[in-house]
Amino acid sequence: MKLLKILGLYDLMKYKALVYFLVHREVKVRYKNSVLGFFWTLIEPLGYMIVYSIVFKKILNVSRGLDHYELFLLSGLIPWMFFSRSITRGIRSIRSNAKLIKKIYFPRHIFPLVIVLSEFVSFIPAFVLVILYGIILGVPFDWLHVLILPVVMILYIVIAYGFALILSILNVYFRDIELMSTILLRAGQYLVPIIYPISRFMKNPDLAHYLPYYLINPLAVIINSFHTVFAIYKSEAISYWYYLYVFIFAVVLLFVGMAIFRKLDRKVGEVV
Amino acid sequence: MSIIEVNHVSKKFSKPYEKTLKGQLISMLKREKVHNQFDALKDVTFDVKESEGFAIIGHNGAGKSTLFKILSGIIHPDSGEIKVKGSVAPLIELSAGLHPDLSGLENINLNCAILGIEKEKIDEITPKIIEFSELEDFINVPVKYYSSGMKARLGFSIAVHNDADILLIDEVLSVGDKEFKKKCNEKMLEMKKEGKTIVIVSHSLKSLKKLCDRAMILKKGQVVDIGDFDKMVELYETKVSKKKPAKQG
Repeated sequence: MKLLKILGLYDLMKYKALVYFLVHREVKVRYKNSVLGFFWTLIEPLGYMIVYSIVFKKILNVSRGLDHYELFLLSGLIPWMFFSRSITRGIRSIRSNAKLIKKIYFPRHIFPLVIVLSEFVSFIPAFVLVILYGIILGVPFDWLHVLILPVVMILYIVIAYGFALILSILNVYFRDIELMSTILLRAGQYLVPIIYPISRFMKNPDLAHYLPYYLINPLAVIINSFHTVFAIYKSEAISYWYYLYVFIFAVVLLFVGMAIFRKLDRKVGEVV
Repeated sequence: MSIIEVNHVSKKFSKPYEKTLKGQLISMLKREKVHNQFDALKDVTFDVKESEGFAIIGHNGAGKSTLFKILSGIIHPDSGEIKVKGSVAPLIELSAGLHPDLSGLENINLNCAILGIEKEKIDEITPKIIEFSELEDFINVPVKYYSSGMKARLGFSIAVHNDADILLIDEVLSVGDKEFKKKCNEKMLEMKKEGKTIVIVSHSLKSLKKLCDRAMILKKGQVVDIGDFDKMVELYETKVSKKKPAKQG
């Protein structure tokens, strides 16, 4: 019981009607006045896919040794966009609800959570389409990875929420966070295996040395495991111990995030 | 039995200081104070009894709104403690940042959910809220097309139907027509009979006479006196305010 309170889960249980309502609203409002509706979720990664496939396949030839480079790109890009959108929008979530926060008290860590969950709701059908694309191409699955994927997704949500918690509350005090995040997310996109596979590290003896450091980033492990749904992108470099590491990272991040949030939350009613 | 206990609560605010670097240099040359704190509340102590109507009166800037925010948990005091035994429902304006594209009905759902009410309970009280607000014909219209009177009606209906133990009202009752005001007052009297506690923050005293048993006068963040409502009103009108209480919000 105490643990639930520390993690803010107790509040979330009490306010589950609110969380449900707000997520529903987010998803509904987003596609309300657009003709293409849901396809807007796909258009962004598809646009990137086209550009990347021109640059990295045709010009830089990164794709050598990778079959169906477009599928590889999409199966990394779409999960990455869930994270990147959760953070960009999550950071602003407390600030943009300032009016409401000044009027009435309720647990404010609901705001970043709602953003993360609503992004996840848009992510799922997009990823299902990626899998369908894989089926159409006749790419074999790595069934073990398909099985652990739900766990990976939950850890992914927890990590996105943990970061969104810390950054959203800091952004109330320092606007810089919002501006800085764009740069960091752009850099982050190149530090996870979206454009290149992790196996690239193994092939180059100079790089292989750096792989353990590269994998300190739990997002790299997660994005890789989305690729690995397709057996052709499987890499021996990642042992299952890395998933244990990601799990510990997610739990610690949630604890730390909640602690920071609670500390800074006390003055939000005045500052925001 | 006291349902709200406030002990030695103080709150300081620093005055917002938003000058450009140039402006700062100029005020430094003029030797103006740069950091400026003021006491919004200073050693405020009072209690509210169960099923009591309690008014907090004072001029603009007396600290009423700060106290209101502290009671509803939006801000925390610098020192002192507050004990609230029971659930609190502040009456909030619907214009307060809810999605203007959402309909009246959706706003009812959202508002109730914000107050931490469970789904089944929300479904149960929604028809009552709609009926009381007299907005049946407009309930599916987005709130952005509502008049301010309609918004006030909806806001009040939500606040009084959600079964909280304490109702906090921050002079929002000034909107709406006469008849609805009368209805509101009757409803609040009824709630009091049911054992609910009502705390009203206000500077207009006329409408409160029937509802309030006791009152507290605030002046510049400090308690002037607490006691019987009629006595406090007399004191307020003769001593605390030299002229008649101002009417603006």
